[in-house]
Amino acid sequence: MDNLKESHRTFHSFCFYPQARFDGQHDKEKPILVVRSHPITQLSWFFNGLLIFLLIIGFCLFFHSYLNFFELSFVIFFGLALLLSYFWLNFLIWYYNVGIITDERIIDIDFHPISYKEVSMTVLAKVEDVTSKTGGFLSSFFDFGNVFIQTAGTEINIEFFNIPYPAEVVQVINQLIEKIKNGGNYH
Amino acid sequence: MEGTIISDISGWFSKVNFLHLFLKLAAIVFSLVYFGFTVIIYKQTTILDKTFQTKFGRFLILISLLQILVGLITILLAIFWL
Repeated sequence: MDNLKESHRTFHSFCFYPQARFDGQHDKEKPILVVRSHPITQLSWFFNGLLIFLLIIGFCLFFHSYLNFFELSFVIFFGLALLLSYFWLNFLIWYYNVGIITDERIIDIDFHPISYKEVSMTVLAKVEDVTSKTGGFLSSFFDFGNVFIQTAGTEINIEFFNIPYPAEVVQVINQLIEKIKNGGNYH
Repeated sequence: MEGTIISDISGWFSKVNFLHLFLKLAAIVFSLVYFGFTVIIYKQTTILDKTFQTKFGRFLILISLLQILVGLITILLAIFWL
């Protein structure tokens, strides 16, 4: 693990040593792993978008005799703008819902549409148990699953959902905890 | 006199295309809502970029900004083009 260089896998959903900073990062703290949901889990909104596109086409075909050129053009323009916004919002939700594992802490950033942002973190020294769960055909085939990080005392438990290579994430966290318990630095 | 006013009003009503007026009003309202939505997305992007800064951050903010422009265009189209 010490020999790993900056690398990205599965469309930036599994990044080792990323060039990224987060709010509240300590001076010597270094992000080691950044994880996002596996891209295959995002296919639902892609297909929804496709359905919206077909609805726009259907609307135009059905109402083209009732609307004039300007009205029809506006409907197409507005429909496409809405569709692009839908794609963009879902992309942002995927992009900014990240789990960050540093050499000191584990941080979970949750972004929910329009008005909600939640940042939860725990120090590695307080992590008691790390488990991964993978179930179902798709998650077995594409190797993604959930990682549950249980902490001691009043520290918050952290969960990463549908992240790629959950077993590898657990291994990284366990190695970091081991190093911290042995009094050594990760670097 | 009274008869003239009533005939004027009824003349005006017969000239106005209510379906078109309704569509225009709906288009303006929807465009305004969409514009507000794009502004919120832009604000959220800037806040999230501060929370988690990556090399793509500025690019993402730029795209969100372009969306505001599209929202503005839809309002202008709804008002002046329809």
